[in-house]
Amino acid sequence: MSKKNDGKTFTVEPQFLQKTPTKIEGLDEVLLGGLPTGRLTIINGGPGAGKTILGLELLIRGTEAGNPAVFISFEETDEAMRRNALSMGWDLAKIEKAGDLALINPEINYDVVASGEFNIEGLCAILEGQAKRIGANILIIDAVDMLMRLFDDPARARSQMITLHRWLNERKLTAVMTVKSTESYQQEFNYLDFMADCVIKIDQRVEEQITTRRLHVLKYRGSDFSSREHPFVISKNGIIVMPLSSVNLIQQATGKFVSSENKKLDEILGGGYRRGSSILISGPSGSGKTSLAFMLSSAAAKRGERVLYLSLEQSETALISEMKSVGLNLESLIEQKTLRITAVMPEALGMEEHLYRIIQEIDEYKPEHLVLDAISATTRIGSKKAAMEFLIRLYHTAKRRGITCIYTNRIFSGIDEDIEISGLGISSLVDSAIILNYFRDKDEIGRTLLVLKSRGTNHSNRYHKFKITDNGIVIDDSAK
Amino acid sequence: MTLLNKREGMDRAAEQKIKTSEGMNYSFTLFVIQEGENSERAIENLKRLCEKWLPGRYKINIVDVLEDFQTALDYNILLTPSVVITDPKPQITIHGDLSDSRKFVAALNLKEENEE
Repeated sequence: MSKKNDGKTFTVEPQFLQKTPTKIEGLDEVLLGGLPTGRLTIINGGPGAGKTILGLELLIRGTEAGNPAVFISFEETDEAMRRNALSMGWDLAKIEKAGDLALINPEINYDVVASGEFNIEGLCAILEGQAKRIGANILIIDAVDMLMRLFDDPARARSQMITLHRWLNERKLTAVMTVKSTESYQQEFNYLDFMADCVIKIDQRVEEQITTRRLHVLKYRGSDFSSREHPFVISKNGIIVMPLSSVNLIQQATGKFVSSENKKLDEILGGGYRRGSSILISGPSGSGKTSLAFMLSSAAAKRGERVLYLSLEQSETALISEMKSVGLNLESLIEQKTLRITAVMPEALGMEEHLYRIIQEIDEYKPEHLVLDAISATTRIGSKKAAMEFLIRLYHTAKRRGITCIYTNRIFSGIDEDIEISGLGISSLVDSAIILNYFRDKDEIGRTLLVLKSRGTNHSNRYHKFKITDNGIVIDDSAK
Repeated sequence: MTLLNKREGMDRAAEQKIKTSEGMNYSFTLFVIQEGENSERAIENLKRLCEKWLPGRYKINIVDVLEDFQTALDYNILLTPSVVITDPKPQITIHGDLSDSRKFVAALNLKEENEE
């Protein structure tokens, strides 16, 4: 843990910074453990960014972990809060009844008269009273900007927020304030960022018609943190942050050899492919990518390993009948639940939602093999950037779980594989790359297979001719 | 000097208006934090102003928010000191220690205008 010396906060002896895990999926990874215990965290974001939901989930996960919480909202009535929470499956009334939650929603009346000096001690006393009543150690203040507007004077608001902050620190409450960031945020409220120990910015943006949400830690006093922007989704069960890890993406394939159950292909691959590795099958349309991917899938499924096949281009029914013509009976494998085909409509959802659903399916089905057919279709999710992000994160998800991945990718030229074989640059990530192609062979079209790379194996470097027959892929003994 | 004259002028005008509603009784709930910096001053100011403008027809109820936060919540009082004019209606909230007596008088004034 590295300490940053900002010159002011270092007058006290450096102590070990305590963190309170948020228990929100992915967030603790970004915060390297959680929120600063007994300190203030600011969450700022524009309207609709998800601040209130994040605040609510902090309270839910906090109380689940045995930390009673006071939640004060300056924006919504407690009835509305309870209703909103219920739509996420969180029963606030039940937590209140158990004595772990105090909901406060003062109605702010801006139509008041000011005469002489006043301060925020009344609010502190209310919070103190409620915190004592339930033994709270978490305090969430939603829409603190509404409270600040009550002062009708930026200088006064500022000095009162400092009073409130001092009070929070004295009480050692792990506090979270959400603030609506507006265009004037920088001038009006930026002292909040200086005051807080941790500042998290969330936003929602639309890029090429796809809505994505992002979370960005701007500051974390006394702690390292991931300073990148991390996408997040609001799923029906709460927030899921997808930490984009900054660790080196390239990992060596070290798993045991897996047979393709095709003697010739195993030979070409130098003994098969490695468990937990990733394989890219590239080729033009109709070159046999899907057939090859299903050949490998069936081989694994027949051994009793679970295979999840994500099809972005064809329906399950179409694939079943197409593979029948090359001698693969997918139905029996589907019946014995070692093969599952999930048709994914790239256009139907944003990237985050796709990813979220796929990860949920992975965690439920627990496949040993994952096929993505095809990388080239992922750009239909939105932009190339969204597709790349989708791929990288899917890649990470699979890697982390030790799942062997097979990606297919359509390339456009039937002649020259020097052009993009990579599929959005993923070739640098994969362990093995197989290129399928056509060539003119006298009066007919011949097919070739080339293993361009296969990490950790002594693979063939030659073009191999193959045919797609009723009995599947048959690779010629002779090279081209 | 001119400022002072102005203030006296306003006070006189307010005095006249208040006199028109003579006989009406006022209730105030004053929210303070016992040890709060402005609380003593708020109590003194409110008593003094009531004696001056509403002698014999006012009631003051003092709430220490540290002891009774629920009443403060019921009245949506987050800032202290604050005084709520609970009677006559409509209810009016004044933030501050009432050191600006014009605002206090104006608030009472406003209500009378509403009632006309």
